[in-house]
Parts: sequence; structure tokens; C-alpha cells
Amino acid sequence: MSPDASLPLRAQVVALLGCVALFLFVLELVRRRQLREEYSMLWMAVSLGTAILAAWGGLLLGITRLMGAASANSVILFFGLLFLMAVVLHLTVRVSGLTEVNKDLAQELALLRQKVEEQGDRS
Amino acid sequence: MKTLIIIPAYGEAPVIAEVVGDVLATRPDLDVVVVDDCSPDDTGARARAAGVPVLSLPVNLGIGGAVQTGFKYAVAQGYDAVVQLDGDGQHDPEELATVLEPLARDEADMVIGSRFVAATGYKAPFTRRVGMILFSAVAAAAMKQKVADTTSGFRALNREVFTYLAENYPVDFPDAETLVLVKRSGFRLLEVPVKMRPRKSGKSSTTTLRSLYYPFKQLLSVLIVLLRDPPPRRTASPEDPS
Repeated sequence: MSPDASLPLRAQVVALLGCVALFLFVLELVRRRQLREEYSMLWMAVSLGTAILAAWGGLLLGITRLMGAASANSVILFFGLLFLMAVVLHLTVRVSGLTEVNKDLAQELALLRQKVEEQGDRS
Repeated sequence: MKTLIIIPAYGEAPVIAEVVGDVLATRPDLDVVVVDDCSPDDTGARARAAGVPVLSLPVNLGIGGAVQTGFKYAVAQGYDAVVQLDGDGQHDPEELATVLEPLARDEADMVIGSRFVAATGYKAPFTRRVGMILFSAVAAAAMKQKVADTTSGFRALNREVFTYLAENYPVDFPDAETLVLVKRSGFRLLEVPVKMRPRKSGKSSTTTLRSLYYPFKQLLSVLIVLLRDPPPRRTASPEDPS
């Protein structure tokens, strides 16, 4: 691959279409309240970032050269993997928090239930 | 000393009434609460029929979450001391005095009823033994105190300790971590030998598969407790809620 080679046009179109589809899908999920706005921002940013890389082929190749990577593919895969790992880590952190909250709610419920029963017995 | 016996129970329907009755008959001066950890059978109903209040958890939280529910109840009801006692009848109510006495004499903040191995022929599964030995070694170094039976579910706690644990309880892995946490927070820990009876029913909460990774998780949990600062103890007295 020569240093100033550009991405094949067809690949660019496919990538852009993929980005648009992701963007619209995320928007629809938010509209249907299946995804919180908080997370939608992240996915919209991903689709936007990917779209920029697809449309502006020189940027990706520039980054590839800057990193000293052999091919643009590995650059995409590298950042993709990094991103997914960050997302999964973030989600496990959230699940841990939810577990804690769930436990507290269940305990509170058990205490309240007992209190109600006790009052039922008394009256 | 207003004392509460906390009995966490999961699927102990065949024996729970007997266990509760045993405690009430031996120590009529003490209150009992059963924490039903969302049992699939009618453990809760039978305990209620035995005449004690029952805290019914809507979802299964595991032994740690169940015991902590009892601590929260004890805090709300203003008890001075609690004793945790297994719902399967392996803890002899006669031994309640043994674990409560050091609390009453203010010699310790938390008393662990330790399995009297020789007297009962109690033999833990191999993996569990490995876990206990491993933890005992790490804990002894961490706490500067030797505890032989780190997985005992027979423990007496004074108000300061159970109030503290009602807020900060390592529910994932209660038995070992709790000891290190309590010790690190500056409470006095004491281990006393008690006789154990064979459990009347049910299985240990530790299954074979789980007991394989038990020692590792135990070690990890303890190391992590050591890495973080213990949550601060509140010094507020009951009449000064802050």
C-alpha cells in the first residue's frame, strides 16, 4: 500500500451506510425508551466517529502511519477492541452498583413487610 | 442486655420450627428473629407459626445479605447485642451463654463460636479445609490475631459492631472478610470453643463446585479488604442521631 493510497470507494459507502443505520437505530431505541439518553450519546459518538473515518480516508491512513501500524485494518480492530473492553468494564461496574442497590431494597422490603405483619397482628 | 438471636434460614422447613423452639425453650429471656432468604419451601410460614417474627426477603440474597437484614432489624429495634445462629440446628442453644458472656463482661466486641473439632468429629470438606487454613494464615498476619474457625456462623456481636455491619457488610463473602473488616476497624475479636451438633437438615451453603474456588475468592476478598481503608466508624450514640 503506497503512503497516499485512499480507501476504496465501495468500502467507504458501506461503512457510511453502517454508521447511518447505527445512528438511526440508537435514536429509535431512545425514542422507545429502551435506551437511556446517557448511553445513547456514547453510541452516537461511535457512529459519528466511524463515519468521519470512513468519509475522510486520509485520517485513518494518517493515524496508521503515526502509530507505525502495518495496515489500517489493525488500527480499526485495535481501537474497536479497546472501546468494547472499556464498555464491558463500565457495564460490570454498573451491575455491581445495581446489585448493591437491589440488596438494600430487598432488605428494606423484608423489614417493612415484617412491620406491616406485626401491625396486622396487633389490630 | 437486650439480646436478639438472628437465624438466617434457606429451605429449612423440616427443622426450622424445632430449631426456633429449642432456642426459645433454652433461653426464654432472649428474642428471636428468623430471616427467610426467599426459601422455595414454607420455612417462613413455619417459623412464623413457631411464634417468632420473620423477615421474608423477596429475592434470595445469600447468607451474607440475610444476616445483614437481621442486623438492620436489630438496629431498628434497639437491641444491645445479637447472636447469629444457623437455621439448620447445628448450633446448640446451650452455647449461647458461652458466646454472650464475653460481650456482657465487655471483654470483646465480637465473639466467634469456634467448632470444637474433637468433641463433635466435625470434618469439613477438603476444599473448605484448604480455604480455612489458607485464610487463617493470611488473617492471622493481617489481624495480628489467630482465628482457627474463620467460617463459623455462630457469632455474637455487640451493638457497636452490628450497627457498623448493618451499613458495611461484605455480603459476597461474609465469614472471612467480616472478621478482617471488624478487626481492622478496631473492634475486639474473641474466639471461644463451642460444641456443634450435626446439622439437622439441608446442605451447607457451600457447594462442591463453589468450594473449589472458595479458597481463592476468600484470599482475594481478604487482600482487597486490606487494600482499602475500612469505612469509618460512627461514634454517635443513639440519643444523638447525626
